[in-house]
Amino acid sequence: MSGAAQPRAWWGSGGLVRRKAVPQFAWILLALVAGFLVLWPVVQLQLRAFVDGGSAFARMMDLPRIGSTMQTTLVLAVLSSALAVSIGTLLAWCASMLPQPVRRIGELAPLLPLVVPAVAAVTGWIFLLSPNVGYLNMMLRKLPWLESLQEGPFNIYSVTWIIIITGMLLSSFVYVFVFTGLKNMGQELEAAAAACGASPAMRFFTITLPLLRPSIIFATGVVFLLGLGQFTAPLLLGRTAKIDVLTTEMFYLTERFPVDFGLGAALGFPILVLGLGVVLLQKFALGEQKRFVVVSARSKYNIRETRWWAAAVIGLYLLITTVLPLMALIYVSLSPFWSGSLVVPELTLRHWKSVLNNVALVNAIWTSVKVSVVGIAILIHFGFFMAYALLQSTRIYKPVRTAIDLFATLPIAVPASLMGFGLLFVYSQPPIQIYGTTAVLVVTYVTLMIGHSTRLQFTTLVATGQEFLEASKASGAGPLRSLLQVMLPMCRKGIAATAALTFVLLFHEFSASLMVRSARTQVIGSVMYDVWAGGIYSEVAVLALIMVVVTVLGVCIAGWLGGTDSAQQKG
Amino acid sequence: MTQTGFPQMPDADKRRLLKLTAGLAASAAVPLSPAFAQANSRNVPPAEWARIREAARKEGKVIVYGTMGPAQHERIVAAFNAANLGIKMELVRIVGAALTAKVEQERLQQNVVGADLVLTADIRWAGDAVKKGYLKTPVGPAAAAYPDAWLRGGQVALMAHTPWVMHYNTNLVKNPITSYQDLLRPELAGRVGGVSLVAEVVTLFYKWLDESNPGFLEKFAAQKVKMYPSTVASANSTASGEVSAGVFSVIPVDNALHAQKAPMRTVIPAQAYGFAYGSAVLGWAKNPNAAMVAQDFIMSVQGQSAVVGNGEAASPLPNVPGALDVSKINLTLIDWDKVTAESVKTFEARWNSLFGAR
Repeated sequence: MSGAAQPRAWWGSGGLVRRKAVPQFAWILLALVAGFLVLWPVVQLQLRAFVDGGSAFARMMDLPRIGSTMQTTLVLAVLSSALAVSIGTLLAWCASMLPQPVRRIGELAPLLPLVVPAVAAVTGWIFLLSPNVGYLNMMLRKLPWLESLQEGPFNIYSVTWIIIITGMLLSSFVYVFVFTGLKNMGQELEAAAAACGASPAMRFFTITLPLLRPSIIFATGVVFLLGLGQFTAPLLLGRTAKIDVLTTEMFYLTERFPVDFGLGAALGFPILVLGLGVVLLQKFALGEQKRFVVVSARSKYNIRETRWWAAAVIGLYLLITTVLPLMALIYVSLSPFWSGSLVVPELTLRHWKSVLNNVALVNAIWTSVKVSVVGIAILIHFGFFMAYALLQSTRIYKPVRTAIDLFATLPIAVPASLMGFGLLFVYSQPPIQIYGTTAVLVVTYVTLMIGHSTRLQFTTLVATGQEFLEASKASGAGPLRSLLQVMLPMCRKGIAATAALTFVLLFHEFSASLMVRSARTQVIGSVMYDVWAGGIYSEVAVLALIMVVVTVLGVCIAGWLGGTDSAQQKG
Repeated sequence: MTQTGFPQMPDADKRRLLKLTAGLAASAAVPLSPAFAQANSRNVPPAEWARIREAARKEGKVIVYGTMGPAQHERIVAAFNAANLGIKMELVRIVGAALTAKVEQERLQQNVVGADLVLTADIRWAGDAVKKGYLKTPVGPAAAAYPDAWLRGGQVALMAHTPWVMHYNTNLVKNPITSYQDLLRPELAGRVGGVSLVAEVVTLFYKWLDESNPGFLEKFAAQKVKMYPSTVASANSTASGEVSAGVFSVIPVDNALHAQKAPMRTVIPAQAYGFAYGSAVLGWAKNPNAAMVAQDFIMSVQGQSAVVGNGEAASPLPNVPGALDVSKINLTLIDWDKVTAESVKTFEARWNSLFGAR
């Protein structure tokens, strides 16, 4: 009996070494590269905290107001993530009750704040809620019961508002996870509860929310990590009121010479430990892969009533998080200077001309675009193979797969500002001195986003299913042919969606860019901070609006490359 | 002295001004030690200068890191590029102590294409840089003619000396502010802006304010001062009305807002404290010849005219159009010989205890 011929692998069907060792070697190489990118800066930096008997920790405790700084960091992380989870879940619930005419746009609306970079949104909010001359505050003071106020009623330069702004910025992320969970959830139990006479609110709190627990836990972990490493709002809002968090303290170290990397490492240590703890807790609570499994079977029941007030809630959210800050930015960008007056001044394009004629600013915009595009090109490939590796349950040695999983997780657990500080440390000294070059920005972006790229593409691969790949192999195609001719075309839209989201995240990147930038190698976020610190608020507004426009263009191009509905696929 | 237009130098006062500024500079800019009062001739033969200019033309560009006001930078770049020297100037503005940090970082990592020339207010660092051999002696016709008293360590060209000024928003403050004590008015509580310790000169200003007005700083801190990360940010906040008055600014920054008709008035205190910028060529410059030509340009009357603008700062040179007439101001400049790292650190701790860190 002659058995069926073994299909030839692309590397041939030679001996054990060629059949087993060569592919394993490729996966090991992938793990080593990812490990170097991710571990090298974190480990090297943290080692600095423990040299000289841990004297860096003593220096940290000598910092003025360090107790208050640590407390603010924790309070910000806890409260902003609680707020984000509440708002994001509410939005998801509202989106599930949208009337048909506004359903499509209404489901997309909570994602629109992601198009506005955090640095632009915070700047817009400063123009709105600065206690004396914020436009919203000034309008509120016209109300009869507030007209006696000299300032306020809101003070954006406060911990409360840093928490609120951060919570609102993060709520879109929660919406993404919870709404996806909600959409894929069967409604049989809700239907049963409805048949027993439970009201919509009762059904939401007793059926829907408990069923959404995995999505909510995962989203809570993600936004807690983002809140823990929050940098933009505390930096822009906290400085005037002397409110600091650990990440802003680290940033200020980079502004002095010599940079005390040991102290920075000590400042980052509590964040790192807490971040890793949250990720481990998440894994423990949710299992390794379940959080990514998409339940594709839809329920035949659709018992959720539609409500117009749900559309109003989403509209209000969009107005507050996106429309108002953008209007403030546009107004200030056209004003001669930021004036505390509601009387429309003589509008001018001077600041637009000034920015567009400023070589350094234009270079920074182009650098952002170029570095983001190069970063995406690397990340899509890198992330795809990392994701592919995670799917191989038996073909890759478990330690290698576990290592790849770890390296895809670590960048998510380590705040961007801390990672940026570590990257500044390792890449400004031998053996790899690339500080001051565009390469350091590319490496930074790849390091930061490798986790996101892997996880997003992993989701795509899981959703695509293994059946087609197996069918391809059964038909005699080798792994490479199956990958190129079957998997990749099927994943095209998912990959495009990953590219779009990655472009948004990279183009908006602020924290790590500010750490690793040099005087002349800047991206739009970092020059925007310089212009902000330099106090030319109208030019800040112009740069913020340019960021929004380029982001929209980038997302549209990625969507167009991947197919019309790719941008929605992740949502 | 309260004004929004600043005195420019009438011809009759120029000689007097030269004496005054030279006198002021004598304390601020004496050579660091005999070793640094070296006989590095700034006067090079015409053939050598022609060679440098030709080499500079081949380099094609010069990168400058500066910490002056945006308008000053724009003028310097425009004037330099208009001089048709065949070199393009790229001027990067870096606020505060970050400039020193970036320059030092580049010194350690010399593969970075960074600054060739710096325009810094951190003269203590510049003085140390002379001692450590980080800088080059400027050469060229303007460098040769530059007053020795205004060259720290023979290498750092001091210039653009100007007083620190106060300002207030005229829509919000009806009773004019004329002295630092006026900032303690009860109605200004929570409505006064300052600049946080982003650079050593800022620290030295508060130190002077503390020493020359005993007890003032405690009362001032009790006003719940809002601290901004730069002079420009503070001035813009006063112009917008976010705060009613500011304790710390410079004329070039305020002038930019006056030009836009901001409702703001600038006040030069009766007893004013001030500082000068230092311009220096870095020893590791990637465009050393272009840096030398740019430095010579900045030290020339033409360059100084761009630096001082319309009465925004004074110049060590006579006959500089638009220079601020400091002979009409009771101005004391920072005496850098008396500034030590320890004294700065000690005062920073005091400031932090009063205003909260940063």
